[in-house]
Amino acid sequence: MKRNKILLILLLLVFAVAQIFAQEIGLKGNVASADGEDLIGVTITVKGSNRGVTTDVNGDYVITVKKGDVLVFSYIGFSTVERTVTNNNLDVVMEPSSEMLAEVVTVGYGIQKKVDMTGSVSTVQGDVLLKAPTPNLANALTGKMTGVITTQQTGKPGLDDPAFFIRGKSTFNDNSTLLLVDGIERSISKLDPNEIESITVLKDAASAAVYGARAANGVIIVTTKRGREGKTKINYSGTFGFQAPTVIPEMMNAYEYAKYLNLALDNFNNNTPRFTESQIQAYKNGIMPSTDWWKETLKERAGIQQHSLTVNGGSKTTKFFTSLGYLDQDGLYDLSGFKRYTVRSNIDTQISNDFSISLDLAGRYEKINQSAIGDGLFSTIINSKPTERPYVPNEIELGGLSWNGQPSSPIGQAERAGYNKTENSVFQSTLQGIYNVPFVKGLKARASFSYDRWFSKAKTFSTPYEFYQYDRVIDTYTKRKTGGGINLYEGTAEDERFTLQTAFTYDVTLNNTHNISALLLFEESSYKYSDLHASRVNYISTSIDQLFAGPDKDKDNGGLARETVRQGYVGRLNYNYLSKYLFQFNFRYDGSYNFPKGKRWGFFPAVSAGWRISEEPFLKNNAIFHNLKLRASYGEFGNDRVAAYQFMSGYRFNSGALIGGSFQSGINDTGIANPNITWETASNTDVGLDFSLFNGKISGEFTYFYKKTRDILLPRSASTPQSFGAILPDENIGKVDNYGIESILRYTNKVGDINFMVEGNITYAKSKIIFMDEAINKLDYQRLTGRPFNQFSGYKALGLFHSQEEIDNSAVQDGRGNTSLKVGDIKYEDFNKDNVIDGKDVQFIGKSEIPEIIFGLNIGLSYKNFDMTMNFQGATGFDQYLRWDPFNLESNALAIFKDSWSEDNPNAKYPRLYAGTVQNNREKSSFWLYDGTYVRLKNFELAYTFNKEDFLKRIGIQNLRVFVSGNNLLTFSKMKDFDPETPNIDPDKNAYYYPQMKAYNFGFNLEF
Amino acid sequence: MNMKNIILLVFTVFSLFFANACMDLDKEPLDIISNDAVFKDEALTTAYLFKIYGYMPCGYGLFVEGGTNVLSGLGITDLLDGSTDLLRSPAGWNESNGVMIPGTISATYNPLETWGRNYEVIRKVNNLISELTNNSPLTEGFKTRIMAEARFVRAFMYFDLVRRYGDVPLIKELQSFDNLQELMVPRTPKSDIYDFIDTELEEIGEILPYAKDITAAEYGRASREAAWALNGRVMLFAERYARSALFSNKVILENQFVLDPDYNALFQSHGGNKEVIFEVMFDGVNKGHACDNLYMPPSIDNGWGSQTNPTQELVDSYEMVDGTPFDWSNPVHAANPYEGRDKRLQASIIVDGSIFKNKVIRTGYLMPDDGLGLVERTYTGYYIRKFLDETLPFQKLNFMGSVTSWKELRLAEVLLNYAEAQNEANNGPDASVYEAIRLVRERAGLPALPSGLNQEQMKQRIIQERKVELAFEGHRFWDLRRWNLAESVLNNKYFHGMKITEDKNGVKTYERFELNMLPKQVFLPKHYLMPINQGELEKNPNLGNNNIGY
Repeated sequence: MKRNKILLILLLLVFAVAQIFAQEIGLKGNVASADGEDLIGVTITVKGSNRGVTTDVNGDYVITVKKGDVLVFSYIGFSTVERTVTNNNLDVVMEPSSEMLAEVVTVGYGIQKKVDMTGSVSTVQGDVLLKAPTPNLANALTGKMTGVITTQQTGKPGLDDPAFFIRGKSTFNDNSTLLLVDGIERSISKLDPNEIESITVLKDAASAAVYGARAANGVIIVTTKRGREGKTKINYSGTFGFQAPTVIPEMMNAYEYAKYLNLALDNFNNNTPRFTESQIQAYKNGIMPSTDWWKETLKERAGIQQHSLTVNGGSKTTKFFTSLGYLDQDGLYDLSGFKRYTVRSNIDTQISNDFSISLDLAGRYEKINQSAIGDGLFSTIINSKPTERPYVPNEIELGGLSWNGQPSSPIGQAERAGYNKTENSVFQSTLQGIYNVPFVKGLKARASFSYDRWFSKAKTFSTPYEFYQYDRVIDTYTKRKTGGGINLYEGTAEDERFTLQTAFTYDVTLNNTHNISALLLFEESSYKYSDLHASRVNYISTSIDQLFAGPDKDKDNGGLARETVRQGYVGRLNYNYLSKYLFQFNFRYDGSYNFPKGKRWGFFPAVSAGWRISEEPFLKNNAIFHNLKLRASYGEFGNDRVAAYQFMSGYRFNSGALIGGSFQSGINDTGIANPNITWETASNTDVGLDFSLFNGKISGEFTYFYKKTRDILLPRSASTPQSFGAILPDENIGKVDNYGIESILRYTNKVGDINFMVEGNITYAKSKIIFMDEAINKLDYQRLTGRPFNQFSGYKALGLFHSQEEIDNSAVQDGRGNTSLKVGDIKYEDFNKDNVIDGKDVQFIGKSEIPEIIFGLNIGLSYKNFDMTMNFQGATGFDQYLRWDPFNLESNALAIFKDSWSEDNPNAKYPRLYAGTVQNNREKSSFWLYDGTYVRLKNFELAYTFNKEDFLKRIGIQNLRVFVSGNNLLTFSKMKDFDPETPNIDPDKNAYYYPQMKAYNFGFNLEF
Repeated sequence: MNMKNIILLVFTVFSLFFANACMDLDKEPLDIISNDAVFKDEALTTAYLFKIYGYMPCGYGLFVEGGTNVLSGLGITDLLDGSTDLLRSPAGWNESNGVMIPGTISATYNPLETWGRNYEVIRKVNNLISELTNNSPLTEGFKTRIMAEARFVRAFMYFDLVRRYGDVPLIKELQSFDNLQELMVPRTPKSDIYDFIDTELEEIGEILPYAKDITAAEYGRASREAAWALNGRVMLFAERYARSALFSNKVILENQFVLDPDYNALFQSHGGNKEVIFEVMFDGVNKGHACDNLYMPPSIDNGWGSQTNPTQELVDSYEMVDGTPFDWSNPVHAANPYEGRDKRLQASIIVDGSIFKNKVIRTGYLMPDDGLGLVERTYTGYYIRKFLDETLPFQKLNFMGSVTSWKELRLAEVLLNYAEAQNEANNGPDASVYEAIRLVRERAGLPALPSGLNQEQMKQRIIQERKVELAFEGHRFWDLRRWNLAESVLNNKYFHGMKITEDKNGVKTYERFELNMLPKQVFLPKHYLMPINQGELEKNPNLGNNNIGY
């Protein structure tokens, strides 16, 4: 460093000497940003001449000028400043540019100036992600970008990836988005936000078609930080906080449980009450205790801390960025938690004038722990009877578990049932070379190799635990043990991906008017996956949790492997005339192993154009319009993510039968082959308007999109009778349209010392099935064709029966003359008016579980050294299906079921209670469908920055920022007991789960 | 050339090399065996047959295979007889209480639906036959046996379809996918289905090996006697009594099977019992069921158990050892109701005081551990004993740890099938009918039936004998249907349990009580057949209307 500085000073000196003959003054000065940071490399030119200098690593400059000269200071991302020379010192403070004209955005296989773009792209900068960061990066994107629709369905540490869609669903198959980190297909959810420079979402064909057969559901590109020339900067940031569930379901207490269970038993014909009147009174008076199993099993809050250290700097020729990150997220019970260690080193070096290479290395280690029971634990908790105690009296056994009224103990499941551990190790590397072809200005050749490897180890050690069963009627504790043996399951899985890209790019400006850039690229990637697992069962002791220690009898192992290969050729041509008329054409010619020869290669073209109206003479010096751009694009992209090798038929090893006393594996036919199978193709039309008004104070974007997905792969199983008996292949038969709008509006201003920014965004996306396979005799009103994806269907509930007379006069809904129905049961609509309620009365009763509209409101405020960020996020246009069987198996019930029908409560909200299953009230119906609309304060951060403080400088600290932050702090929703993003709950399919969390953090950033 | 140019050159050459040679899009799948290979290879062909055998059902309810729950149509979480007068489940949630007992089975929800699964394996059998017939170089001897075994499974599946749904599509040959219209097969009258099964089983009954020639390594595969025994049963359902008697008698005359003198041990066996003609086996690892976990007395189980309990109606059906009926009004009987009874009572049912797994099980009212009136214990005063494996270690008491085989066909059933068929075909019992029943009763410690019974009287004795001999094996569920007795026996009925209280002198009082804690059983005329699934009717217009009442 020091040597470089001397060199630089020497250079400047030489420069200064050269100028001495002009009899002019030597002007010195410093250029800094508004927040006090020295700006390195600011270009300073003398207006009207071609003379100029740049600032050094301390933001200082020296230039020889005459008094009265006007100096122009320009720097990317900052407003240009002009100053007249008056004396021999001129310090300048530059303000960040409110206009985004200089903003550069990562696009597919390159970067582009935002103003020149013609496609639909959303970007979020890394520093935005650092405001109140969440442990899972994918959850941080919601509400910050248009087009991104997510639902976080669980808060389980390390396993909280959200359901994620770009502009909604558009295929029956894999709707997942192509995720890229530094151009290579890699997962993004576990990245440390401190490593991220920016995240770009490519939404329309114009921007995403370069990814061809994998781009139909959008592309997310994460760009990691790189070194910058200048003084080495060391940043540390640490946050400490805790997480707690956003909502805890309110269950009945012991008194309510005893009272309503007796009622439910009585309604179910059982005339022997479970609790006597005096017991019920004892629970009511608190003489007998009530157990809150949630509190007994789980912690109220779980700690979370994150640390990150980044070092960034470099010389003119070599720049580096390195980072170390650590995340430690506890779970709601001792065994559960997530730990993540990340390391990254991105190095760029200029080998010669024309040739540079960069090497990126990243590693990550993740450790996810939970109980061997997993999420089953949460169902056990809410089913547990509050009338049972968590522990037996000490005279029976010190610390001995009692039962929950069913044959288990949630405390036992959380703490004594064994563990499930997953460890993932990730290695990612890219070596890239860039060659500026010396004889052709603007022509570059680039090649990169990436090698990624992932290794995962999972281990489940199940240990039975003991508990006491309590019989209230005879006041006796009986010792019990849970079933199964002491079993160990261990598995490893690994994958590797090799990606090669070679590319030529050409950028040229002709006559200062015609800007042309072109790209030609070849990419191929191969992927291999394999796994192995082994297990031994019935260990004689829990002392050694290793495979060798288990008995030979019934040991088991298995494994599988798969490989994929893809190749693609990419071309792109950009042309703009004076940055006013913009054109782009791009294509990808893509090949996929998934499909048969002849159907394997596909061509995905896209064209787009833009018109920067604000550059036209009639608007050029307008006081209102600062930037106004109309853009439109059309293109095609594809989806090849379906089961591979459907073009051939054969046999796979499969389950068999026990013959001769041992299990003989069988082989199963893979089904009918489809020799014509090929990708799904989506064609996308996109029209948008970008604007910036009043010198950038108001800016925004408005985009309309219409995507037609065709050749969607679907088996014809809906129309083929089951009596055919075969596994059907996917065929390119489905058609879906998907359309919507996205809009973002931003207002920034400064009032006195207060800088503020308000940004609102909204995405509306709706799908419509144009064709899918349906049964010939499917009733018109039950056809899915013409409807959005996954729309809820079932009976329409007309409320509850209020009298026997009403039951007798209603359509038959139980197949036996309504004799099984009672007052207070759910009444259904006889949709086809045939006086019988059966499958023909099923109709569409709601929307789908994926929000149609998702919106965000982001507010940024700064006052002197304070700054504050708030991010509200919400969604509407979706339904949640939450059905319960209160008191089934005599389980505890949600407190809402106190409002169930009875003679004393004839206007109840919920049906008559039964201590068992009554098919009538279990039918899929609108009764259990809830509007999912919500708004929540997703992120909040309040910070104070100490800068240029002497006491800090003295200890070598440039900058100290302290903050408090939080996630999911407030939630407004119609749902009472569950988070609005909860997955649908149906006792027959999925039960309760690890809930979504809110977080409260304190933290600080230090810059050295 | 300087250093930098050398690096550049290496880089470029490297790029070009990889771009052209590194990756090939022609990947072979790593897990698919090609069509051609399978039927040239005996081991692979046999493996396909084993897949077909894997479809044979299990009457213990769902079983777990390779980590996946399999529903084979004979119950889900309850025994089929849980929906008859033999058993009652205290579990409000299982399919017996949820749908079968209240009679709310419908075209959109039938927990015992087997349509899709049965046609799936029927296609595999048709495929195997087509491949082996048309393009397989394997030896004729090998091919005919494999095909005969597959046809045995197919015949079973058609029998299962016809007993559930009545008329069903009969698909005997491999269908091609070229023309959707050709897949819309109409329903074939049930008599034609029975014709097909009869012909098939007769034919393969001449091809399959005799049971004596099936080695221990082949236990679980079909024998010639299995085909005959199955046909004997099927023809009873078809009410073709002479055919039924003919085939059952072939099994009896072949004399390869003997009644296991220990009735209880028979049901604890897992492979190769001399009474068992066809069984579906389990190892509790790759394939296992939950029978032990679901039905044991809870004090021996891990907290489950007691999910279905025998009724007083069944217990009362077991005769006294002298062959007279049990009678509560007889004070000697009533004082010690479980003494001096048909041996099968204690072998099939745990009653108060029975010893199970070296433990005296007390089922009396509020008796510690397993008594009536305690949460999650017996609901009727009894526990199931039949099928429970007393050697199964505690650790295997889970949802796939049980290893007892499912005895689909056994000699005692064949004897009773024969007796019933012969009594009908002959318009009354002959000596062979008496002899068949004598064999069954002798094992139970009961005397032979009195002579001189007329056809109807004999039929009533056979109905009684089947009820106790075949209890819990699912026969009662179907028998009540084929005898047209289900409505009178089941409809609008509560069954009964036994409350035993003991005074301080140890004197027990027996009190019969109504099992009215769960819904009353409903059996309407429509329930004799199951509904065809609504979805299948929508897909295939040629199926016409659903069965009457649905």
